[in-house]
Amino acid sequence: MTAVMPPRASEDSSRVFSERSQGTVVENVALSHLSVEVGHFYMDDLENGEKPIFEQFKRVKPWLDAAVASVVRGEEKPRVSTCFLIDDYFQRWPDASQIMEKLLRLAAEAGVTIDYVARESACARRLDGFQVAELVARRILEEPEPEKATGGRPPTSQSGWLSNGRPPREATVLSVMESHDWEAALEYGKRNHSIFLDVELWKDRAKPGADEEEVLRQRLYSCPFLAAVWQLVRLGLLRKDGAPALEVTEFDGVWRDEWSQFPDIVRVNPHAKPFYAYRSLSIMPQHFLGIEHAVRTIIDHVLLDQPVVESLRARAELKNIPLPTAVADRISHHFLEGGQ
Amino acid sequence: MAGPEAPDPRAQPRPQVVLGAVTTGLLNTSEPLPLEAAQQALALLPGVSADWRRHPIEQVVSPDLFFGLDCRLAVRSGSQPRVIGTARARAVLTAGHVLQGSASVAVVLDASKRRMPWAHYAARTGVVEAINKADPADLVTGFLHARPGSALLDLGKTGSYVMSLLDRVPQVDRQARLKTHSCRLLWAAHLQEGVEPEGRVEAGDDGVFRVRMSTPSALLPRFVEFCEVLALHDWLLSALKNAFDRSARPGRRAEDEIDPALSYLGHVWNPTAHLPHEMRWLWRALEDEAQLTWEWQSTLTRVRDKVTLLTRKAIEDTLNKESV
Repeated sequence: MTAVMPPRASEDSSRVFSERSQGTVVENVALSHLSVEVGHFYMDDLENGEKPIFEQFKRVKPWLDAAVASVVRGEEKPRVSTCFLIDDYFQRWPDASQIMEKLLRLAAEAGVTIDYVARESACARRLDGFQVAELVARRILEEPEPEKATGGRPPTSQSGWLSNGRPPREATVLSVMESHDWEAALEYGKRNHSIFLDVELWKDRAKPGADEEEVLRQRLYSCPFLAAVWQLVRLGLLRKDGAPALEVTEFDGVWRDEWSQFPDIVRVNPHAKPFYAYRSLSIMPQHFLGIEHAVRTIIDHVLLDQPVVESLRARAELKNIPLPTAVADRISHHFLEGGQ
Repeated sequence: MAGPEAPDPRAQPRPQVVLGAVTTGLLNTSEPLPLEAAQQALALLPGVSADWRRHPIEQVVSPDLFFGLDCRLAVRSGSQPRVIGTARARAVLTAGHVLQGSASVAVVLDASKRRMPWAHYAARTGVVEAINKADPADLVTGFLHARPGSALLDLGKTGSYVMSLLDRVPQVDRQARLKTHSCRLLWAAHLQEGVEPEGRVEAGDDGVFRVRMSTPSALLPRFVEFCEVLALHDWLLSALKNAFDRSARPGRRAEDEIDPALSYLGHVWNPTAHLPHEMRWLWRALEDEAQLTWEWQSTLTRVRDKVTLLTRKAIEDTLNKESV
């Protein structure tokens, strides 16, 4: 049978009942144009002498100024906020108050204002126990194999590894010769030549047969995975029930010694512009390049919630702020030269 | 995304064809899931909740999940275009018992000549881009009537996978008392702005409903809901008929088939319950010709008549025993 829609098919005006509870409503958060991460240190570096810390902030300063001067902002007055991520996930000592005092003092001396401080551990699990990292882990979609993915493949990574293609492999050729053959790695989205990357996202340490809760409790996330979470949080794209997955707390004037009691994100500059931003820039030493390559690969494979993506797109459009569709294109880096 | 008519340099090429499949089956649970349990079960992604309705029939809709695609599309003539991107799929649970996996993909033609870096596709969820040239009308027919092929898009499998996720949730006891088969409905929409929507429904001899439509893109989500409503009622009808047929087979206790069918399905038929207002015209036209509601009522009457007859027989048997 064939049917054609009659004229005046819309009966909206005569409707008296409506009910559709949208499970999740996306919150509009205040946004800066740019979030700048002003340097990064391993915990050991923070524990040791003051000079290297001061030196890094000094080298960050001119690039921070350049970023502020060149921020993409449509026709609005520029809003830039700065942040610093404390590397407390893999090792830490109960001296948070001393580290914070030292860090903020040295940054200020070098002319760098830190607006917000966040904990890397919070990117894995929040202070209230919610496992933020799983918001990203469950949204990772492995890249489909060329001409072989017809729609029935489970969408998420089970192995804790993510790659941008197919690894090299040794193929045994069952011929009379019994020869061994080698097949090169392949980057699925290559242009002419491949740069194959295989990233470890996490290590599962629970005993085989443990229930899901226990597996997640014992899961050790990799540094690039947490850094990917961190980038998505800064871009306002990672949400729980419509609200930012990590929220900002005001500094209450006292630093606790235990990192485990440290807020997820704390505002240390009362005059700071909003933490979340349309774009992010991370200024950090050269040796983090490999990690950031892995971060980009992870972010390229995260399928974000459409209502969140759409709400940011609509706001940017309203304010005439160009916003790249691919999330990884909203992220930029400046790598400070090595050897210092 | 309907935007202003002026050409926008940032505008994405729009999909011309949207393809979809709805797989419908019984949630493997002994009793229908109460609304709250259904909401928990269908929260398939952390951080977002399922959508839901309470009236007139409870319905819970999961958040969208995405599946990577790099495969071929069936066409009637010429070479099969290769498409790359992601399919969108969701689970829909109606009356706590009827589970659907609804998968779809929007096809953008003439987008690029090679596979792009994955970030390109990850930013366009639910969309595939065709590398080779193709005719939209041909894609519609090709998808609806393709023979299964190993390299061809298979959205039915995507929907079935989403349904299988519900087997693993703690709210589901995996003890349904009614035997049913899952039903598949295929749909394809040719997006055309500024045209009057037009629809066509075909019931194939393979038992698959096929729906094709020409529609402006703004109406597409309503069309998908129409297809989900049709798929659900097609399944209800065949599940009830199958139970009735089984009840007449030798060696079966009729009540073992009929009791669960009546208690699981008897109250669920209500095609206009969640049918979008904008699609009522199509349902009315379908009812006019296919009379699915009449068929349901008459099947239900036969089932209930059978129950009455069985009851009478049981009473008579008891009375006979007593009088002997």
